[in-house]
Amino acid sequence: MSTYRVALIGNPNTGKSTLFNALTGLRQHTGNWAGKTVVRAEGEYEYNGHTYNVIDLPGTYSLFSNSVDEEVARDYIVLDRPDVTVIVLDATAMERNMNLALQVLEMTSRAVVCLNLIDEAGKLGIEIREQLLAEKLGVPVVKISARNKQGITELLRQIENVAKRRIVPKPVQVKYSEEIERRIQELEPEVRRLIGDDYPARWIALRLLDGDDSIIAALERRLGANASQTKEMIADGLSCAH
Amino acid sequence: MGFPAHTDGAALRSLMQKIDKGEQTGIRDQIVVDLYRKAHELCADTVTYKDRKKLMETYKLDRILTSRVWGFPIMLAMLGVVFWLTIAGANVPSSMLAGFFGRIEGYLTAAFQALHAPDWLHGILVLGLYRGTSWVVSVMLPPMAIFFPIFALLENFGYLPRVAFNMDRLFKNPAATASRH
Ligand SMILES: Nc1nc2c(ncn2[C@@H]2O[C@H](COP(=O)(O)OP(=O)(O)O)[C@@H](O)[C@H]2O)c(=O)[nH]1
Ligand SMILES: [Mg+2]
Repeated sequence: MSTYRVALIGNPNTGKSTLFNALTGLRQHTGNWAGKTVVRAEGEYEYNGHTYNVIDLPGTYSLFSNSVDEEVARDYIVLDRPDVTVIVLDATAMERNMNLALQVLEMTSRAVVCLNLIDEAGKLGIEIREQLLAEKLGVPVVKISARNKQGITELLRQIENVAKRRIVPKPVQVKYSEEIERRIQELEPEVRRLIGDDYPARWIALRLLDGDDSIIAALERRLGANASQTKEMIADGLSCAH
Repeated sequence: MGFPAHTDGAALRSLMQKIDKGEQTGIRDQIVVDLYRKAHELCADTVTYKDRKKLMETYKLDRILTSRVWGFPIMLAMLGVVFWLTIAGANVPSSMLAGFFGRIEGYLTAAFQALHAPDWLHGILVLGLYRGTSWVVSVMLPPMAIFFPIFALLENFGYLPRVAFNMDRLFKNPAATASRH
């Protein structure tokens, strides 16, 4: 039996917290993100004998680190690397929501797209071909209504598929202008050399081009923690030897 | 944890510093444009709108409910109506409940007297515990029984998320709101 980490991300008011409650029930607790005044809701559920630890990330319209909320969400996806990221979209406002989905898919490939409020979309006469969308996005797409608890079982199944790597999504990448693409291609190998394969090199290269200080600061903070950890381990090793 | 041995944040920083600052200007706008273009393209292929008229109606209503000019006045008016309904509507059942409990208190007192219960016991149980509880119930129950269903209705109509949207705009910094659309 293993434990998987699942993150919920999406625009505000797409029903993340409703889904979070539907998934975890009473097995949840809230606190704050370390050193930030942003609420951190964490809970868990069991599925097919495995434990899934769910985090309800703050709602954001983009992930360009314009606000603390956006930074918290971004850092969690990029640095803490959950086993599965569930991108919750409002099915009645697909275009606005798709924008965030594309940004998340640049940061992680281990994702499931979840079209929530499908009951509302139905009432408004909005039809979404989720199979085609899944093909185009390169990740599983599930229609749900978190409030009416519809489609949750299928969502759980797809989360399991990605968590256990039965499905290894190859998400679509936004193709930028020729100029930007050329410069990403120059930068990406260098970035990959510095940070390895565990992190989204293309996305970080794009952030470097964008002059985004905060992701580098966040990386440095993590690496700092890592360095002192290593030092401690070495010290421990030495004291054991004596 | 998981970092390759050569991982180095400082090297990343110097890598960024090597990038020509002049070339960075405007790149964010281009990135956003490309993102929106792709999002639009994906939705055009996979989303169909069967009932455009209905959709336009909800959009129009949405625009009014969350407009910069009308959003707050409408919200305050709604809250005003809800509070008025709660307070005015609760008066009648409140006094009915109070009267009902009062009558029962009469019976209780009579029962205590019939049993020749000591005054202090009557004081604690009837004048203290019973009267206090019945007062709280008759004052609190009717407003709650009115207020919460009304809020549940507003929630069902989807008005509360619009309120949240208005409040978001109030509390978020102006720069972030300027860039949304
Ligand atoms: N009709 C409908 N409403 C929903 C559904 N899921 C959530 N909602 C409503 O959408 C609103 C926002 O939900 P919430 O979970 O707070 O969104 P969050 O901001 O993403 O955490 C609430 O009023 C929910 O009741 C759904 O599947 N169908
Ligand atoms: Mg929420």
